[in-house]
Amino acid sequence: MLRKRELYNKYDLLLPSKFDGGYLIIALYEKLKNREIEEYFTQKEINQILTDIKTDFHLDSVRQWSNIKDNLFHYFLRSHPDEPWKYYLTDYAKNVVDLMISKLENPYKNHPLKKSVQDSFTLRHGEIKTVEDLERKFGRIFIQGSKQIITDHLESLEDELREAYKKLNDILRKEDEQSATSLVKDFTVVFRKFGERAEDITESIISKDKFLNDLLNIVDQFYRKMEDDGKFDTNNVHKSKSDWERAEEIFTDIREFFNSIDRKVYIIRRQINHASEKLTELQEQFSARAFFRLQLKKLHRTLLESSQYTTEGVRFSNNFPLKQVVYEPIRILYPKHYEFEPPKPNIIVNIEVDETYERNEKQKIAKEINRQQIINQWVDKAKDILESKGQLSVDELMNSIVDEEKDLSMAYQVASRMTAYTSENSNVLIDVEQKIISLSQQNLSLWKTKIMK
Amino acid sequence: MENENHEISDYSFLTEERVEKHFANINILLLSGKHIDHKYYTEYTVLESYEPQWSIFYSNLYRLNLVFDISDGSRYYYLDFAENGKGKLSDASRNKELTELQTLIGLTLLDMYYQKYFDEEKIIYWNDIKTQILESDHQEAYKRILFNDIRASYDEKEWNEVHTKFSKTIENFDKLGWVEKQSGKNEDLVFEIRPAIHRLAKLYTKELQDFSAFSQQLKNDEAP
Repeated sequence: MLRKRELYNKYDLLLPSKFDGGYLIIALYEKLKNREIEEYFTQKEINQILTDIKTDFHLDSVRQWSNIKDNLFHYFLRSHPDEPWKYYLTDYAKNVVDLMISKLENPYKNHPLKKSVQDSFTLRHGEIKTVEDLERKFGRIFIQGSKQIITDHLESLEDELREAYKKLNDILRKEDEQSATSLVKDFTVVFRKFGERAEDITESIISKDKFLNDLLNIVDQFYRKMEDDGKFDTNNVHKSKSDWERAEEIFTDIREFFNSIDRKVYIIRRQINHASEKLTELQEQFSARAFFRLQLKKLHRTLLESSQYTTEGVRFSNNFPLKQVVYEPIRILYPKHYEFEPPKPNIIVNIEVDETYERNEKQKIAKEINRQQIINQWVDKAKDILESKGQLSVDELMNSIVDEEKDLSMAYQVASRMTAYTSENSNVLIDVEQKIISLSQQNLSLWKTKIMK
Repeated sequence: MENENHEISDYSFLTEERVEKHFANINILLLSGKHIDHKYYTEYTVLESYEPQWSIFYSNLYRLNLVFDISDGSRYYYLDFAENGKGKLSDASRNKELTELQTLIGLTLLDMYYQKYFDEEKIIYWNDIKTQILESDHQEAYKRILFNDIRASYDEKEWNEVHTKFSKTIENFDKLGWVEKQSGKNEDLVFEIRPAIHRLAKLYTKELQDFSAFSQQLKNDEAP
């Protein structure tokens, strides 16, 4: 915690910002390397560099030496002990710049990982006799540098790949198909190199596996020694047990380190494979892909041109079409009241036609119509008689109707209609004599009635 | 051929154990517009195993096409309206029109997909979108459309509004299976663009086929 706080507090002194000495240190380092200045340089030379920085970076002014020197004297610069007007860069200053340069220049680029692994992690036969030998070669502290080399190696490979992907992705943004096609060709070459890297990594893994196996054998040797001592040299058991434990610890440490390397390598290899697949694919169908891409870009641009800001959100200024997708949200409703017995629906029963009934009814109707027609005919006939003879005897009329039609009700109706006729017409008279007349064969009697005109 | 169709249209595949087990999930996902790719491994494989049966099922009962598509080497299924009309989902509440904002963000993401074409997974951070708005070739248009003001920088409140807009749309696209959201609520956006985002381009096939006519038409509409 204390160390962390110190780092925060002293950060500006450890890594001064650009114009507070940062650029100055880099310039001094460069000039030293190019032998433009001596190892011990003067304030005049420093001032010259500051002026150069001002011009190079188009600055109106630059912080003066007197303002930044106190901070730089913490870690970056020292005065010559015998000639205090001269200064020199500290080792820390040189290391910081070295680190930055190596991050950019990637010194591992041209060194196979396999060699780095083999240089640091190889066991020669008979090399390890005691646990001290083992510790000196592979103990946590002694192996730190070798681990660092491998980690740096992988990190630089990652940087390199990231850079390459960025360039590759940029190819697809090119609208000029011709130059893009040639770029893809160039990149295929670059990626062949990455392919070789992948191979190098694979070989490193193999050589690492062999190493871990050898190391495990040595650990086993310590274990066997401990077992033997348990049987034959009990005094030594304590030491041989602790030897075995130390060897085991070293093995675990290295194995964990390589496990983390394995994970990184796996990701890197997958990325390389993916990118080179895409590249092959792109080479095969570049023009189709580029054409499609170009179309998308046009659509995108047109859409941007058609869109405008409104307070309700983005709206189109023209008829740029909107599209639909299938969308059936699943709704689950919880009704408050529920009718457990829903009303029964009405059922329509289709009844078949009863043909006999229909026929009978139709006959009845026809008969009735027929009767009315006959009655009308008789009424007309009776009127004719009244007209021609001047008088009409109702009983005679009824008798003749019954004779002909065999229907008393008809005769009765004709008689009633004729009686009604006399009351409707003032020139027609009715004479009723109080003398009973019975109709022959009919159970009906009436007054002797005569209608006259 | 007819016999074959007849055999399939009895929907007996629905009683297969695997189908029974995952039917609800598949049906709900597809009907809600999801593009199912191999990230939905179980659902995808059940669809794949009975592809013709599913296809007939949706065509007969919903009048929808089950579409199998491949974009950038990745396969996926989704439901689409039949050529004529919208099938049984013609009711406005049963299909969704992408909004202007969604269309805009969708095409932007499709553009970003190609910016990351060589990356195995197209992971997008909120910062990438900010860069897109502030520094891309189309920065002026983005600024005009999203902020209604073209400036070099915007304050936190302004960014928050834009973040909300993107956030909601990403949420919607996640439901469609066009992206896969990785960030939680109230976190800065992180999501992966899935190859199924190409469906958006497919929706505009007709316009893209004769693009010059399409853009001319837009200009004509604007003229009066």
